[in-house]
Amino acid sequence: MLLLTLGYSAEAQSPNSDMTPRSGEATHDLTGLSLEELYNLDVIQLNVIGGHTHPAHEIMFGYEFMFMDMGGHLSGTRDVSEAEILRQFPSASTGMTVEEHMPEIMYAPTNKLTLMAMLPIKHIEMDMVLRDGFHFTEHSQGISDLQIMALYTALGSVSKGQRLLIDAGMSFPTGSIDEKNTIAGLDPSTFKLEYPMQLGSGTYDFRPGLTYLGESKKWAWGAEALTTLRFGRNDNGYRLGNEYNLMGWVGYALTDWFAPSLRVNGRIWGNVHGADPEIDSTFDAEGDPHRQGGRRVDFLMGVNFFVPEGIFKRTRVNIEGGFPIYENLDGPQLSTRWLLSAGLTYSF
Amino acid sequence: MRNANRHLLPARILAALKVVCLSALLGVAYICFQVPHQASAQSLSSREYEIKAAYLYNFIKYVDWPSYGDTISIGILGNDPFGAALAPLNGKIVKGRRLVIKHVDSVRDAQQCQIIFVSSSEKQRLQEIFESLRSARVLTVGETQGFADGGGIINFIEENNKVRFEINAEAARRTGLNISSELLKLARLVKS
Repeated sequence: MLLLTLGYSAEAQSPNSDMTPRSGEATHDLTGLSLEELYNLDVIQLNVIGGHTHPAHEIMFGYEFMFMDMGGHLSGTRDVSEAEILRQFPSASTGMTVEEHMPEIMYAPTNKLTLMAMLPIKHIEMDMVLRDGFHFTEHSQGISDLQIMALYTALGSVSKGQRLLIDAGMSFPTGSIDEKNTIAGLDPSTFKLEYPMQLGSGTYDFRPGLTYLGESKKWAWGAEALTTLRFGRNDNGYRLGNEYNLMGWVGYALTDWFAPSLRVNGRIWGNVHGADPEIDSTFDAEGDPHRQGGRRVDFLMGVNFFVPEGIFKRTRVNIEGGFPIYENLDGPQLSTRWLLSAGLTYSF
Repeated sequence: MRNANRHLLPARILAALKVVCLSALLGVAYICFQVPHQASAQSLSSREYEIKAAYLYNFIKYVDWPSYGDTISIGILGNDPFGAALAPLNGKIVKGRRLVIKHVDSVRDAQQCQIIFVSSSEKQRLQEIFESLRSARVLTVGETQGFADGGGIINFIEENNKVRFEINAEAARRTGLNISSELLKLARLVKS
């Protein structure tokens, strides 16, 4: 990707040659525009693709909904039955859903720097079964960890079509790590929920990364490597494992307002370090700090809409759904069946 | 209590969806391998330089030269950042004269042009260029920080996602060019 950027910068023509358009290179003749029109013309034209960063002084408000459905168990890549888990633990999960509502705000102080803040609100449910066949559902709900991110364009620019961005972020422990449930019929009836049911990490986490973005008039493509590095221990004596994300995507603008897209997202996350003494690690696999890590590759397809004119100008809507094409868990753990997300943003 | 097996999509439908989606992925991957040439070519034709090219064309209308020949020439000195963006200007009629775009490799050749765009590749020898063109009635246009302060006449700058420009009116007067008030009104005025 860097080679492509440098290749463009180094482009030169022989001197004293008359100008003729090079074959295959599209260009627009803007000489019909008046001086005032040129003066007010945007260099970076917003369209249905792009939108990862913002031009100077632009503000964006957004809302994103995410849903994940989990069912069936894996240990490594091997399917594990509930019966097998119940031979090892007195209870087993049978399914789980994670619902996330995330308001976000972005602001670009300069063309090169975009700042963003996101506050997810989670609703998690996990269905459980005991050896005697007794079914119950655990649930937790509330705000998760506040995310603050900065995206800095280190190489290239939108007008050159390719960019390399440095991502620097921080996650603040605003989400609860003390979620409990009361279930009639269990002994004890009130108990601390397992690690996947807690809403936050409880630690201040660093999120460094790199993003490559490419854009042409019709295509947008890119790749992002983002890590979540956790240090120390939270108030309950543990820290979640580090996370490493690598994804690539491509989108094609069929019109000014509609673009389908594809994304492949790979993720590795580690086991819990330490342990919360209030979480019973022998009751189910979800409470065992050594059965939390895994690796997963998701394949996602999306549709993206953009409003170029009118009162809702600069509004974006995207819907994306997909499923894992590879999953390897330090299990037994619940396997992800499918994912769905939808977003709405407005920039001004 | 809820039913444990409550997943919204049955396993068979999920499996069928996976097959359809993977087929789509292979199809799109094939298309993606076909388009990189087209995509990169389009990205090279920068909108920024399409705007700057149109500005160069407009500057001719708002600047008066003491005398004209049969043609009006815009020269590019140094590495050309315009790509194909200047090509539509070639041969246009402006002020009753045919517009010619050409690349020049010396200041001497630049003296034959009405407008000379000094590329940022010439940053190190701007003063030498300005001195050589001082009496040549040439409108010098650049895109380098300090270009107008240093003695150039018009310098492109980027402001709030738009291409704007600075004018050194004193340098224009020294060169014998008359810049219209309409152009000066839009410019950020700078002094040497």
